[in-house]
This record gives sequence, C-alpha cells and structure tokens, in this order.
Amino acid sequence: MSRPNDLVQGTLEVLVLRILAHEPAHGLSIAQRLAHQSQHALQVSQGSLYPALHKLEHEGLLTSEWRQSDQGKRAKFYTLTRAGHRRLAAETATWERLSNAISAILKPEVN
Amino acid sequence: MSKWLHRVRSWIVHTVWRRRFERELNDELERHFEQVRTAHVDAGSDSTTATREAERSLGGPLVRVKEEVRDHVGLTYLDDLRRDIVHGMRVLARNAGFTAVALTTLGLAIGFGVATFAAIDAWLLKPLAFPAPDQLVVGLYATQERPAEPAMFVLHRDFDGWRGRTPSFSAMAGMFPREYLVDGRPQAQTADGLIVTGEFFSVLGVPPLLGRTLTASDATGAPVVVISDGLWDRRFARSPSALGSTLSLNGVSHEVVGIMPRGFEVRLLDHVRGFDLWTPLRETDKAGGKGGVAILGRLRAAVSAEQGQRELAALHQETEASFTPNAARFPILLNSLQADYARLIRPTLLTCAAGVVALLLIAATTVGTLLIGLGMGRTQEVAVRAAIGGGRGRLLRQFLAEGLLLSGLAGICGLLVTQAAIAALEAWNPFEMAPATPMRLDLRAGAVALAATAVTSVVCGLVPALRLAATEPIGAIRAGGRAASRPGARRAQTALLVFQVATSVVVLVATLLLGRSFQRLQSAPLGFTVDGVTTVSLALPAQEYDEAGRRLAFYGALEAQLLGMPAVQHVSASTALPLSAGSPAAIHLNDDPLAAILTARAQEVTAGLFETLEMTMAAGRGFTHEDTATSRPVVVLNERAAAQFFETVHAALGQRLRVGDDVWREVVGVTRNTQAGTYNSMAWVTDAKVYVPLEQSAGAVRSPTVGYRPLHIHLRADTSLSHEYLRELIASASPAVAVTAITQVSDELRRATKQPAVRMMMLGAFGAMSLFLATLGIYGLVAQGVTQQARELGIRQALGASSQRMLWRVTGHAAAVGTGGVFIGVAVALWLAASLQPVLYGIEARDFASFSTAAALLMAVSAVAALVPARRVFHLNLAEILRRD
Repeated sequence: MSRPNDLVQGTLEVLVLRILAHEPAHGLSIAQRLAHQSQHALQVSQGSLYPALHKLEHEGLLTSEWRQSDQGKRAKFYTLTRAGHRRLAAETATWERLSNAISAILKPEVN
Repeated sequence: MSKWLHRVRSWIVHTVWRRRFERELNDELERHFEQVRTAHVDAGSDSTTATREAERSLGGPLVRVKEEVRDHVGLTYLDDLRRDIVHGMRVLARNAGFTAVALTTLGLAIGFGVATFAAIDAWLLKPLAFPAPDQLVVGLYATQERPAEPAMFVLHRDFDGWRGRTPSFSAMAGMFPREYLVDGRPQAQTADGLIVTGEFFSVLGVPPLLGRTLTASDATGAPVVVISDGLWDRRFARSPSALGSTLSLNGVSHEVVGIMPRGFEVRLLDHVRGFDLWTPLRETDKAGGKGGVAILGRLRAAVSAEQGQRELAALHQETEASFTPNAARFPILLNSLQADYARLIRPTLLTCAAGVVALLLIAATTVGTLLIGLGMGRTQEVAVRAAIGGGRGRLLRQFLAEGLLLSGLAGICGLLVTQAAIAALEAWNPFEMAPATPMRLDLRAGAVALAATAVTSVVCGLVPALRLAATEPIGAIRAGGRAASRPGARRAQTALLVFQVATSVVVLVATLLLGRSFQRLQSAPLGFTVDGVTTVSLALPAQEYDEAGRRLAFYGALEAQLLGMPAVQHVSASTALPLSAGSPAAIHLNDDPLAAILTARAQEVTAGLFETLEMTMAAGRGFTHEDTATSRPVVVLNERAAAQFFETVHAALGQRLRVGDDVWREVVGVTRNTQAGTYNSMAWVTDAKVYVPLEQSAGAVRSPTVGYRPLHIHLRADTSLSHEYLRELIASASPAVAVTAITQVSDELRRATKQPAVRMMMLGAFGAMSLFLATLGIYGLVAQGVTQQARELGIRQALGASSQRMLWRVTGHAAAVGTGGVFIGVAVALWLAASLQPVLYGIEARDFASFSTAAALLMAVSAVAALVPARRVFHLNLAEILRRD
C-alpha cells in the first residue's frame, strides 16, 4: 500500500477540487483534465486519484451520483460541496501567499 | 468538527451498506479501466499494452486501488475491528466458564455501582421540583455541641426582628409543623399540617392547582387552609367542590381556599413525607412568643448558604444581646433545602458509594488478573501470530477489543442489575422515605454506567494487552505456551492482587467497625423494657379534653377495659413515647426572673408507667394513686436532671421546682436514666427528664407542634394484641379521638437503629463480595503457578524434593501477596478510619478488635485459597506431564 507523501497528496486534492469547481465530472475525465492541465507533469500521481476522490467525499468536500456521461454511458460524477468550495478558496489563498513569497525570494531583481 | 461528523456518517453508511459500496467502487473503477483500455485498443495498441496503459491510468491493478480506497476512507480499521470482535467472541465462547464468572462479577459490580449512583443522584444531586431550587434554604438553631445539626426552631421574636433586614435573601418565610385532628366519619383522623407565614408560597414559586395560595392578609380574618393533592384525593375524592368547603381542624372550622398540585412537597425535620395541609400563621399560633419557626428562605442569585448564614448570625448576635447575654448558645444553621432533605441518609449514601467504588475496582482487577491467566495460556497463540507478521499494534488492538467486548457485555448485564437493584431498593425502602425525585435508570445513570464500563474495560483489557503484546515470539513458541511466567506479567498480576487484598481489608475493617457499632447500639441498656410493650397513640380533641379531669375520665374507662383483657398485665399512659425524650420545658428552681434558664424534657404520666416499662428508681418513690388532683403537687426526675439541678440524687429529694408556668412541685423520686433516640444521628441520648402525674397536670406539658392532646397508652401483655380490637375499643369510647399509631416498642427500637443496620448490611455485602473476589484471585494465582511449573515440579519431586519445599515453591508468592496486601490494607484503613467516626457508636475509629479480625480473616482466607490448589503438587505424575509435551 504505497501512499504518496503529504505534499503530493495535498496538491492532488487541491487540483481535484479546482477541476471540480467548474463543473461536476467523473473519475476518467478528472484524470484526463489533470494530465492536460499540468502538461502531463503530474501523471505519476494519478495512482492516488480514486483514493483521493473517496477521501474528499468521506470528508464531505465532494458528493457523488451516478449519471449519464457525454458518451451516453453511466458514470459516477463528483460535485463540489459548499465545504469543498470553502476549502478550495482557503487552499488557493495559502498557495498564492506561499508562491508569492517564493517568487520574491527567487526573483529579487524584479522589484 | 463537521469533517468528523461527515466521517462518522460516512462510516455508518459504508458499514451498513457495505455491499453497495463495494459494488459501486468496482463499477466505477472497472468502467474507467475499460474505457481507457478500449481507447488504446481503438488507437491500435495490442491487448497487453492497452491493459498496461489502463492500469497505469487507474494508478495500479484494480485490487490494489480498491484496497487503497478502502484504506483512505478508514474502512480497513472498521474491518479489523469487526474481525477483532468476532475473534474476541470466539475466545469468550471457548472459555465459557471464565466468561460467566467475569460477566457476573463485572455485571454485579457495575449494576450496584449505577444503582448507588441513581440513589445518590435522586437524593443529593437532582434539583428539587421548584423554580431555581438551589436558592432555597432552611434555617434553624443548632446547639454549640452539635453545630451541624438543627436542634431548635428560631424564636418568633428573632424571626420577626430579622425580617426586612436580610439583603442576601430575596424572600423569607417562617414555618412550623403542627399535627391536626381532623373531624371524620366514622373516626377522627390526624393530618400533618404546616403553619406558614404569608410569604411561604411565593418563596417556593409554585402556583396552586385550584383556587389560591396563602398571603399575608390570611393571618387575620376567617381561618383558611390550602390542602395537598393527596388530602384532596382522600378526603374529597378529587371533587372541585372541595374549594369553598370547610375542614374542622382541632375543632376550628377552616375554609379550603386552594389545592396544591401533585408532587408539591416541602419536608421539614422528621416530616419526611411532606405535609397534608398548610394554614396561615396567626398571632395566636405564636404561643406567647415561646414557639418558633423554621426559616424557609430564597437567597438572591450568586449568594451562598454560608453568606446567608453569616448574615443571619450577625443579626442573631444583635437581637439576642437585647434579651440575654448568652446568645451564642444556639448558633443559627442555614442549609440548602435539598441538603436538609438528605441530612439523615447522607452518611449511609456516602458509605455505600465508597463501598461500591472499591467493589468495582476489585471486580475489574480480578477479571484483569484472570484475563492475564487466560492470556498466558494463549501466549503461544500470540507468539505464532506475532511471528507470522501480525504487528504488535494489531495484537494490542485485538486484546483491547476483547476487554471492550467483555466490559460491554458486562455493562449490559449491569444495567439489568441496576434496574433490579432500584426496584429492590424501592421495595425494601431502607431509609423509610422516598427521595424528592424518584430513583431512575435515566441518561445520567446511563452515562455513569458507560463510565464504569470504560474503567473496567481499561483495567481488564489494557493491562493484559500491554503485557502480552510484549511477548517474545521465539521463547514463547519454544516453551509451548506454558512458559515460566515473564517478570512483566508476573509483576502486573502481583500488583493487582496486592491491591485487591488491601481493598478487601479496608472494606472488611469498615464493615466490622459498623457491625460492632451496631451491636453496641443494640446492646446498650435503655433503662426500660421494650419486650411485649404495645403503645396505642391517641389524639384527643384539645377543647373537649383540655381539662385534666376529662382526660383522666377517658383514660380511666379505657384502662378498666384493657385490664379486663386476660393477656394484659400492665396498662399506663404518658404524653411521650418510650423512645422519645418528651417535650422541652423550662425548669424554675426559684422565683428569680433573671436566673439562668434550665431546661428538661417533660412528660405527664399515670401512676403505673414506671412499672409498665420496668423502670427502676434510684431514690424516693414513683407515682401512686395517692397523687391526685387535690393532693400535694409532686414531680419525679431522672438521675441526669437531679444531678443537673441539685448536684446529687439524694439532694434532690424534697426539693421544689416549677415545670414551665406550672405550680411548685416537690421532688418525691429519682428514676435511673433512660435512653432516647435522636431523630437524626447514630446515638442514644440521655436527657434531663421530669415526670409529672397526669392527675395533677395543669398544662405544664404541651408541645407547640401538636394541636391536640396526645396520649400514649402502654400495654404490657404476654401475647400480641389485635390492633383491630384496640381500634374498635377506642372508637366505642369516642369517635372524636383519633388513633395515630399502634406500635410495638421493640419495632420502634428497630426503626431507631435501622440506618446503622442498613449501612452495616450494605457494607457487609460489599465486604463479602470483595473477600470472595480476593479469594478467587489468589486461588487463580496458585492454580496457574502449579500448571505452569508442572514439569519443573514433577522433575523436582522425582529427584526427591521434600513436600514442604514443593508446597512453599507454589504458595510462597501467594503468601507474600496476602501478607503485603493485609499490611497495606491495614495501613490505609487506619488512615481512612477517622472519616467513619460520625457513624460509629461506642467504639474508637481505630478499634483494635475490628482491625485484627479483618487482618486475621484475610490471612486465613488467603491461606485456604492458596493451599487448596497447591495440594495438586502432591499428585503430580511426571510421566504424564512429559508425555503431554
């Protein structure tokens, strides 16, 4: 039972929340968008996608239901809950603060 | 927080609909897998590559991803827990004997514990059924000798002087009890009345069921009464027309103006069942200022009873100083209403609570000890599991699950025991009064049951779990499960047993102290006989029988009839019961109005009383039929009164004194002292007493709390008398006279000593149980030692070791445990004994006999418990033992 370390796991969860913030999606389409949006850089950690989805649902950040997908097949769609939106906003803010700080350290000449 | 709520909900959903969860998970993952694989096949990949790509997309093989999902959602732990519990059930079922003993022990301990809590909760903790009940307080005078016990009513003049000057109180009322004789057909009856000032009902804040309550304006005007729900039911059959109708109380017609709701109950002193009716306090009730009231107050918010008491004490000093210089003789005592209700039984309840906590700890440690024994047999199983990769934590969890399972089951048994114990307690009613709120197995008791269960499960699950989880796999497997016990487990077991023996000693010492107190109390000479004496207590209408001549005529006719019964040998009458002291009365030795006030307990008696009760004279004579209304007024004292008033018994003879405002009387005799019960403590008291002939009574003896003329007729007979017949006899003599009670004086004696008896019996039961459990523990220790060392012992025997050495080998440890436990127990008991002092009588708290008996008993029982299983060393069969290996 290999588990990704906390940083990767945490990042993956935020990315999933980010993707679902636009519209509900099923596992495969989330995986595809993850690969697409990160220019395939994050494909390695896809292994934890389903555990992450179920954990987020378990914590009440997502809900799920079975629906018809675009291809006309039944699939389990995940939707962001209000708690999920709140979490995403909080994580985004934290991330922005952190990345600004790092940017400031790495590119001091910009100022 | 909401995250945890979601988790718990999700766990419950996943556990209940586990199959659906698995099916959906499977569907979801398989669809993903198929879609990716199909896409790759469609794009021209071969089947192997497509499958590999699909697995890569999924994050690994299907089975592993599923396992990971379950892990993330925490279902793995739930699965483990379920497996542990199923396994635990199998272990318990396999050891049915152990399980039965453990469940019985823990179940009884938890059950008694929760029942005791339910009683304590009902008496001491649950708020009374009044608005803001914690602000209600009762105030009375105590004595300097016993400042924590109410002894006297607050004099009217004091109470009146304090009203309006007490900022700590938002309201204050006065009250005192009075028994009323109520007209009735076919026979008059008595009712418990409470005479109250106008503020009484507003202090309590309870509205009437019908009509109105009393106000200050009722103190004047036509007499009115508010009745209880119970009296409304008995007397008026719940008819609304009761309002406005009249009740004749002590011959005075009272209009019923209000009916209080069911459950409205105010208790006072020995009126433990509340009152039947309430009447307004009128100027005429103040008995010329000699009477008094109990204060019922409502404190302002955030004011403590101590603060209120200090305030009243300051006022008391000030008002008393203007009357007498010795104000401090009767300190004011202010208690919360609830504490006042439970005053009589608090020591009993607390004794029981201590006993039951000790029992719970002993029971849990015994089961823990037995579990270690059981676990030792399983050392091999554990070792094998550890060796094949069952992690330490996993094993620990399993033992905890077993302990939890055992305690959980015991908790359920305990609730059943509680239910039965509460029912039994209510049926037995050892306190002869019910708590103001009923005992119930409610949420609070349930929470206590849960806490008790948690404690037992920690004690009897965690200890063996920690010990066994530290097992070294290889050694245990090699030793074949009967490994010479490891020092860790051995130490834990020894500590538990020493604790258990010590606790048993403490409980036994307490039981013996109480038992010896009770025996002293029972065997204390009373100074009069109780055997074969029946007392018929009568209430005579005050107006009709105010004149001594009429009472005498009534009694004379009865006496003749009673003496006509063949079984009856002696008949006499008095105004006080044999075990009660009599009414308080002021004694004057001269006419000096400034002389210190002397008090004594007074009663009026007929000539035959001393003979009926077999009281003996210390000097002089008793009363005779020569002492009549027209002869010289006389009085008889007891030794205590003679010593108090005249220094010696003989100096008292021929002296003169006045009882209250009565005539001057000559002391003609001195009786030996007699004991009287105090209504609220474990002791006999010897008061100074004076006896006045009924024939010469001129109102010397009168109780302010009784509105009629009481007369107790004492009969000494060979056989028990028919109560039915006695009642008929009274009824035919006069329908206006009420029979308040017919009692055997020996029953009264039993009732007076009931609290100590109850305490002793309850602690005795705990003591017996803890002794039994300690025996079980020591027996188990030795039996286990013999089994574990069978091979070694067998070889030693074969090599010619003496029986004595072998015996010592297996019992030495138990002997050390027993001795150590007894020493520690005696030390702890010596330390704790002082706290028992208030419930002891006639012995010291460090009574040598009690301590040595408890220690000797424990040693003897330990020895037997160790020697019985140890005898097996004499029947060891080495060949058989070796074959078994």
